[in-house]
Amino acid sequence: MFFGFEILVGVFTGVLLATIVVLVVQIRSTSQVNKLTFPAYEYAMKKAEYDAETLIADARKSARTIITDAEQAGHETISGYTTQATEIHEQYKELLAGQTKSIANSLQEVSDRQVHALEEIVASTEGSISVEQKKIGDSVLRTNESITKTAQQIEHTAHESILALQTNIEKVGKDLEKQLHTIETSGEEKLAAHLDAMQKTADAHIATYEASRTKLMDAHIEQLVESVVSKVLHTQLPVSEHASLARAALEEAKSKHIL
Amino acid sequence: MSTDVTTILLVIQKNTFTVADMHRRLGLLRQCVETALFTESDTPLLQVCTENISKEGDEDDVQAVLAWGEPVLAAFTREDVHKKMIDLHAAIEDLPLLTLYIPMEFSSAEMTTIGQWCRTQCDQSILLDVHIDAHVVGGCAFVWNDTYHEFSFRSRIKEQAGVITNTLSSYAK
Repeated sequence: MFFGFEILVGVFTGVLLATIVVLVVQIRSTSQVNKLTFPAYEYAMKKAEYDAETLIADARKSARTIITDAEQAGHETISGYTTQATEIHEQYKELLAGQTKSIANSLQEVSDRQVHALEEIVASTEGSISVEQKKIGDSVLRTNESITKTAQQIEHTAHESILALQTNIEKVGKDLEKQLHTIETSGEEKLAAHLDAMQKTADAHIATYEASRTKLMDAHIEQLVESVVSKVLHTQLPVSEHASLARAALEEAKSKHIL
Repeated sequence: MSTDVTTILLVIQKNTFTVADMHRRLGLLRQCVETALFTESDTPLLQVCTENISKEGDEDDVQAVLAWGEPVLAAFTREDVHKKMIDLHAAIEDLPLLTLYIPMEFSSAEMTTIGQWCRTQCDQSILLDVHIDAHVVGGCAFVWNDTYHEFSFRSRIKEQAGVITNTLSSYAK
């Protein structure tokens, strides 16, 4: 782990130096340079580049070595840590088992004590309940006695009330019967009078209807007889007889002092 | 009205009893008298009238007018024929009138009988205004003193209204 950090510092330093060199070369190449001196600069630059590349290659190589070492050291360290962790886990497991066992024992003891205390409480409570039950039974007995007494009193009172009510009902019944009898009698009389009046009206209507029907029938019969007799007289009676009848009619009128 | 008209009317009334006969026969009389009066002829007036009447009208009327004879036929002159005819009609209008309804037309003889009976029983100068009404069969009807009276089968059956239904009702009981 620590070696890995050192490798990273080394790589960082190499990269920083290479960057500085590249910057210097760049600065020198970009300033006003005489065209005549360009090949020398170019050479210098090439050389610098070469040196830089060499440095970079060395740095890379050393970096690779450092990385390889760091990886190896890392693997070893991790292996060690894993072993330590396994050992620690085993230890913790044993410790945890022991603690769990002791806690369970403690809990069992506490539970036993509590159960015992609870049993004692229950026993005392049952005793109290028995006492209370006895008290309640006594109260119930007393209550039953008072209820019985009250019921007897109520029964007595109710009996008296019923007797009084029966007396009143009989009295009211007699009064009602008397009133109903009176109403029935007057109702019968009114009904009879109404029926008589209706009967008379109906009789009058029937008589009127009968009279009108009779009158109508009379008119029909009269018309029928008249038409038949007129036809017979017209066709069967000689003119001389008609004349005789006319003369007889005039004589009748004379006898009645009409003429 | 002159005395002559009254006399003429009395003669005419002896064989004429109805208004229709009266007007028809007076028409015949006027026609014949005027023909005789206004025709130049040597023949006596009565003879000419008789001949003219015989040619006109029906047999009953001819016989009735001829029966009136000289008091009627010779009572007119050219001057007064028109006036006398008007007076005659006016006198006839003043005669008492009996409007008579009969079921059919009677013969002249029957009407004469009825007319004579009426003059005997009611008024000496009564005149009949005859109408035919089939409903007054079995008798007759008349208007006298502006009142209608009916003595026919119809009136008699109306007087007996209810007889048939009463009989039927009593039979049904």
